[in-house]
Amino acid sequence: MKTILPYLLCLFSLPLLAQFNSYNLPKATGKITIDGELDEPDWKQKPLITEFRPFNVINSEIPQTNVWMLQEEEALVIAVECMEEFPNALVTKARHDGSVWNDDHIEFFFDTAGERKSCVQILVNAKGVVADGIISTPGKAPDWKWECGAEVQTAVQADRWILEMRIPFASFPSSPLAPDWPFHVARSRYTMNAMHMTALKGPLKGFHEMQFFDTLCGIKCEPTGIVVLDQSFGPLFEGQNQASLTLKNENDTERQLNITVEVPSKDGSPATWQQAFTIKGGTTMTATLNWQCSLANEGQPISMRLEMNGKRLQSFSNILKGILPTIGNLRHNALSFGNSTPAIAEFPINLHIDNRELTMLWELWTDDGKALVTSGRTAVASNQMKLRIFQSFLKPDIYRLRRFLLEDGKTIVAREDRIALTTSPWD
Amino acid sequence: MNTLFKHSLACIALLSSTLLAETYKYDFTSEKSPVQEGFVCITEKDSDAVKWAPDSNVKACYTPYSYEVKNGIPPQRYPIPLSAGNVQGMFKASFTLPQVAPGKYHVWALCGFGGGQAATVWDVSLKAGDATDSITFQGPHEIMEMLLETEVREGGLAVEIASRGHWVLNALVIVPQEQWFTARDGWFKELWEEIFILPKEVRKLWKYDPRPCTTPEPRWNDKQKVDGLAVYTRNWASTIWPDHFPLQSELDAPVRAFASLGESEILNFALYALQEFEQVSISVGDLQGDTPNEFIPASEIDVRYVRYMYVRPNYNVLGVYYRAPDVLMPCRKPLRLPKGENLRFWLTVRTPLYAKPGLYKGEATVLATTHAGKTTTVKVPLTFRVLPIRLLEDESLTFGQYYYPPNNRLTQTDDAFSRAWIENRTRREHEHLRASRHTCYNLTLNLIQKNNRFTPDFDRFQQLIDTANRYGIKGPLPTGFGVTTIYMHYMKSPTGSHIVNIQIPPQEFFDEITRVVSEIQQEAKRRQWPELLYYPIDEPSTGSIAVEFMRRTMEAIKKVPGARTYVTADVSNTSFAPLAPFVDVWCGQPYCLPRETVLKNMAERPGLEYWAYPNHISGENDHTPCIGARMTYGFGFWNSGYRALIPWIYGSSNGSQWNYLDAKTSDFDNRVDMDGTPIPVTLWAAYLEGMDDGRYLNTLEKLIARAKDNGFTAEAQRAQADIEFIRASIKVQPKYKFDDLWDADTFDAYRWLLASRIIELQKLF
Repeated sequence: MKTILPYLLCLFSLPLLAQFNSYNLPKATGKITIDGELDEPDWKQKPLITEFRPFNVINSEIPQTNVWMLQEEEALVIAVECMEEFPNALVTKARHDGSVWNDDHIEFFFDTAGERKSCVQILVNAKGVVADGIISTPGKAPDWKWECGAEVQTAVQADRWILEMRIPFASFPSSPLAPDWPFHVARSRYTMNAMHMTALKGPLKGFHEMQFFDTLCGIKCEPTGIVVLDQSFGPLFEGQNQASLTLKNENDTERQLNITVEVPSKDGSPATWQQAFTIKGGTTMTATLNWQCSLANEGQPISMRLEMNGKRLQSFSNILKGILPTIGNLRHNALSFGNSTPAIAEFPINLHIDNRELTMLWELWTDDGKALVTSGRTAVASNQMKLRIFQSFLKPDIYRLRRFLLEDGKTIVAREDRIALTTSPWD
Repeated sequence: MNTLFKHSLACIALLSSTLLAETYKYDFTSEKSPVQEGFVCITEKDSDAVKWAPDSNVKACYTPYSYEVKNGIPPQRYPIPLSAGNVQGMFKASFTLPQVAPGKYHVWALCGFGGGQAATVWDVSLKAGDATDSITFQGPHEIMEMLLETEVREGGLAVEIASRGHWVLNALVIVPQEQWFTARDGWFKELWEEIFILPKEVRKLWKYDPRPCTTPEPRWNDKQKVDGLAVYTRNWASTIWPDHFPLQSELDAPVRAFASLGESEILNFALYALQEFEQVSISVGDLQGDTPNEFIPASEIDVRYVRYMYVRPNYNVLGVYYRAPDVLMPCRKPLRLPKGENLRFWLTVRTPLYAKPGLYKGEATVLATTHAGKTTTVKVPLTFRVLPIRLLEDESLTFGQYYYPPNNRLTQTDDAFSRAWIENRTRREHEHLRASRHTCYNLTLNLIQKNNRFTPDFDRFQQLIDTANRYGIKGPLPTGFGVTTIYMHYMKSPTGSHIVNIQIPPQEFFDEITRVVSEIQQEAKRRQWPELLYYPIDEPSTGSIAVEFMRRTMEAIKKVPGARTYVTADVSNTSFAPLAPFVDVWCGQPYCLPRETVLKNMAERPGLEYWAYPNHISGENDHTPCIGARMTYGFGFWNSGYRALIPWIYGSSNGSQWNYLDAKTSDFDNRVDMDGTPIPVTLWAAYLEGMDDGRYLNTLEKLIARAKDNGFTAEAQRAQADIEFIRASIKVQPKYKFDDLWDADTFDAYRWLLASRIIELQKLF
């Protein structure tokens, strides 16, 4: 009568309506060379996935797609064969981390924590261009700064295009990796009409719906007893930064570990910083490592490796985006002043200022740079600066504000910005 | 001892009366349907619990429901037994609940999920004892509530229902007044959340993902602690999350704004509650100028508050939700303010066209009353500067919306009140569009198949044009004209979503397109319609067959002299390059082409225009990017070279318009009030502020040109330097949303820079 049981049954029958597949991830039996040629014996075996279904089209025939997946000791290795009637018309326009989804591509979603709460997304187009990101919350766009560190090769043949790829386990964000990963493989084709295909059988509305992912079982990464609890490259200041890694040693005895941070230098060769440390058994600790970056590094990759006895346990790759200049951007560059109120230039100092005697010298110049209008000097007491520009004969106009950060009387960094000064609306 | 005894007796008496007082819970539904646990079933028939008046013509209804997601599509609504059933009728009904004992009560009424047609409007006026309240809403999936305070005398509670059309009643909960707060915050809260958020069985499958507060708790001063309330100010474009702390610097900061003559401008402030308040109300007085004769009347100040909604991170995502500020609700009734929560007031001053420029001052008075009846009064000073400026428009720009007038559904209604209400809603929405300086929306000209040929239904379309004309929708108007209908005729198969299943039809199809367009062009000229932009397919896919189909279709349209084409496609995607010779208006995501390319291409080919639908800031996937919306509509639009903005959509509602979690896709943008008047959202306000930024720019640019023409070269150059200074400050990007944007206050700093220079140049003339 008034029971809600039928409705509960309806609700819980929701996932049961869908068909979910589990796949055991086989081990590689031999050496795989990533060359876009599927000539190794492992690729002669039966593919792991062969059944795709159309995602956005009705009653449509779809080209065959075959997917092999293998595990090596330290990597996931994937081969894909995308049958294609019109290989000359393959669309491959995107750049790295660009809109690869608008190209002929294959894409993978792996939830390496096994919780269906987050996943990585890796798309590869027929030219081997990769877009890789982390979806940290369902429904949110991927953070494309994450780099999977994959070795990728593609090849286009008369009736198909082929992908061969190796992704180091150490690149995946979870630590430790779950033994079973919810995952999804999808393909999009643009040679004729746009066509999207999925290997999932569930009632999918979008490719990111983790609740409908299949499962990749039996990932056998050798447990090291070292668990990464947190990782950070720091706030990305121009100049010195501090990377950190919070680890737990679940072993009974101490372990010797090594962290390396690597950033391309000006000439393109990598600049590296290393730190060796010991973590006692059964303890948690945060290891830190200072590293340097310049504004010229903007857009370049950065990586951090955690190693034990020369073996890589985990790596973290990212794109350096939003490096903060030491003398920060002005909050506004249009400032107003009154008869008794100064124009206030607000900006951050992006520098660790603890125990340092820093001074900010500033000068206001005419826009043509020919005349100094006024200047001032103030101690840097916090990371948020407010310069009060007051001059009884100041006129509304455009000026140049020069800022100099001094330590022990020497300029360590300088910056010039154009600012507009107006009279205040409130006087 | 004697006194103590008397007090004890009084306490016992009070306690026993409290214990004796009963809560009455009635579930109105059909006889054989499930009844909410703990509720008494009331049907259309008399029983011990209800006596219907003889002239009550009542029907009991129940609609079976399921929470099942079928083919990825969740239900339009999530009823529970209490909301799934109802009694309904037309015009009036009355009944008595004889079991309700005398006493003072809170009466909660639930009305909705009435079923029927999408165009049915439900109108319920309820009189319970001496107390009355009313609600009106449209559609089968809406559900609303009323709360009345009344006194019941001997004989039970008499209830009268009056309606101008259809009425519906699902439940009554009658709680003794002294028990109301305990019930409201206890068992009733759980029930309420099941009805108005999600049933608990469904909700537990959803992840609540609130935005974390990173602001430390401010140091409250003594007054704030005593008041239990802190007043603070934050730029209207910056989000205030429901339970985040204000910044120390925002506390008691001045509430002020400046505006030109005739311009509407936002003043806003927020309350942070250090204790629970049962009722918070606001009143705003006149803004007083320098002399007693100079004032902006309070009637010119629209007072609203920002309603927090449970939202999804993207309009088509299920399973994740959080609370976000969104709807600008009228302040009609006092509001509850829980401890640790924010309440943002949103005042819009409509500056009179003939106000005397200068500084105006006034105040808002906030009354906040606790459960214990303690009232705190807070006066918030307001400062408003009226500038001696009349803003000019760039008449070459177009602001539009994807919009489907509600009166399209008039024929689906069976009662006069619903039709009148929808007509009124259509009028109100058009007035809102006009007041928001919108002059464009999309239309569809249907085809009728007669004598083995397709004929446009001109008379039906004339009605749409008449409505558009009446409200200044002067176009150009992107117009669909049945291309898929013609395709079906020739190919006998559907085109698929975004023509993914398209095949190239025979030449006769394209000849028919040319003929139909030719007929429309001739009739449009005869009937003196605004310019129609021929919009054959929405968002065609990039597949080579789809592109070839589009190329030939556009070519067929362009064979008709004067016909201009409109395509919703990414102009920067080279897959669409074959379309270029035949496209007059490219409409896509903003602003994918650089300004230089846009200006060069348009200069080289007169008639070519670039439009954008900025869905990323329309609420489709986030309700809070107000700064991005202001940039997209103002400085960013001005700097892009694009000619029009036409987001999807004016208002999107699925299921209940007040529940963003039900249905397949979420609700966003403008809501509808009980009389059909639009209720804007914060993003809509951001559109308008962005448009005003553009008007300041345009006014200064026109003054610069005038100054140059009149020989004021140096003054013009200085002003031009300001404009170029601002242009150089723009961090140009295709989609202004959250990243790399100016600080919210910076927009006003630039606006003030422009205003100062406008005032200076005006003095030359």
